[in-house]
Amino acid sequence: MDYQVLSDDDLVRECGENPCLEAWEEFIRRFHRTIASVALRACREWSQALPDVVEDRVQDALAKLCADNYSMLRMFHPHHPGAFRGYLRKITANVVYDHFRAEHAAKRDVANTTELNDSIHQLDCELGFTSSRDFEIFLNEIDDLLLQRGNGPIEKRDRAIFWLHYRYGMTAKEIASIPSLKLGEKGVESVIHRLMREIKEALVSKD
Amino acid sequence: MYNGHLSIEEIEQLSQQKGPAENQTHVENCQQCKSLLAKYQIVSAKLDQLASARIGAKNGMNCPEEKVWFDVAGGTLPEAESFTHIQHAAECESCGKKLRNATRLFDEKLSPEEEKILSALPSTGAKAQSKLAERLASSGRGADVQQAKKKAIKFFALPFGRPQPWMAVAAVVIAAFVGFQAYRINEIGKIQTKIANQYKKGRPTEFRVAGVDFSRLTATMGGVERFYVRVPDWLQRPTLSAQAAFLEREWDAAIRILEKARQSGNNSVEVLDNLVVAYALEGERAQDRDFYAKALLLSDEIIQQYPSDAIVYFNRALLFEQLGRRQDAIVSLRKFIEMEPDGPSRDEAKEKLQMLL
Repeated sequence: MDYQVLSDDDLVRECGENPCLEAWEEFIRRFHRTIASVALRACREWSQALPDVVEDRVQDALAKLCADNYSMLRMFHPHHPGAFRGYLRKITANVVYDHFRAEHAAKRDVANTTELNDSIHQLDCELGFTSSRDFEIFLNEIDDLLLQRGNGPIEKRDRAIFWLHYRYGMTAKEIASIPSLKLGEKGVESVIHRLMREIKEALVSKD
Repeated sequence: MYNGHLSIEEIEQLSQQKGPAENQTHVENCQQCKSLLAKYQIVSAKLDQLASARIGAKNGMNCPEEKVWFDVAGGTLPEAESFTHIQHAAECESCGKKLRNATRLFDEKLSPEEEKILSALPSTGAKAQSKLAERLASSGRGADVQQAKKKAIKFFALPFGRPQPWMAVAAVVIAAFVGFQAYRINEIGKIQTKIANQYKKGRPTEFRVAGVDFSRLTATMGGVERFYVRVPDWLQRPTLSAQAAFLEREWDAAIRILEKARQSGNNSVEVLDNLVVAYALEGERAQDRDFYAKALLLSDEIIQQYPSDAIVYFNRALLFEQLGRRQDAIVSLRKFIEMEPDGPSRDEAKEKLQMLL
């Protein structure tokens, strides 16, 4: 069988159900980079980026896929095109997090946690809001405007996109990478732009 | 125009200093539009600043498990369930950040620095991947064999009513092996952290040591102070042992460790890069140009084998400088700067280049 012409889903099924050297060679050729890049980034989240450490996590992820007679591969059922890469990323990230969580269970870094009150205080100074209350009112005002647009799935989706962008700094590309939103980067940009414009107009005409 | 006044779209254009000149003239002469433009600019400024401040929401209640955010970002949940979580994230600071991190973790585009680390992974090479595939393809068969063995054991154990003594011995041997491996991995982790912490304080030599994050050369570390981190031989981590030897300023010990690693077939870029450093430093200590020659020869080999390795160019530049080959040092530094992504390491190289020019 020519494994190079198989779709991702068919290749995964072959590797799980009829494992052979050629199938796995193709699997590694296609997916090693995906596994390694997620492992590297996840290791960096835990301040570990030495190649040896990343390599060990890549091996852990592959071992997880093969465990219990490839059950992770045999259990996989695609919901949408390209689903396997998402599944693979999730497995790899979980493997790395589980490893470091177990290793650093006692060393949680709480010093870096910024309390909301601190953030609000900092923002008061930057924006010239006279109090935290003023700032909260401003945020609520924006959220009310978003809620007034309606309660349908599109309006709910748009509101979520708006806050993911403005509260957490997620870029349009990052938001568009979430498969269930089913929007491209341009689509997300357009939602953000449209909402921002509506909010500005509403705030100006209210004043 | 709307009712003789500017429309909100035209006001927006003006706030961005766009649109026809006649609108500008209108706003200067119309009190209503002037006031609207002023309000628009205030609201825009507030919203723009809000965007740059990135303020989070309060933490929500009933937050899902942390792993859910990998499912959402990876698209492995049913759509409706995923969407419910996204809505929660939009209103919960803690979960919003986790979702953001998950999408960043899964981004396919890698920075040059990440590409460099990836290309240094042992499993990236074609030969290694072939071996890996062989192992993975047979791991299922291995599992079948183990299952078959289990059945066989059960079959033979039944007539006697209890497991055989050899099984207990095998179990002890296996448990000891697994325990030893777990202990070894734990020890490696601890030593890696210790060494990384020492290097963070400042690197012990002007040369760049491979396998540790970049840090500046500090007066203390570049002086005569030594730091001892013991790396037992049985851990079989030559790179770590060499990094520790550098902290102890034992350049010849580093040479011994790394040459031994090479002889046993370990020609990783880290081993070779650090061997260049060890030879150069030993050459400096012994005032022996033969060591410099060995270091240079080795650096040629690295450039051949690992064309994407930038560290070798930095270390070559220092070697050339010590050999009085200023022009070659400049060429090497320029190459390093070209290959190294932005950061303090590049800045240091630029400073060095300025000094040579």
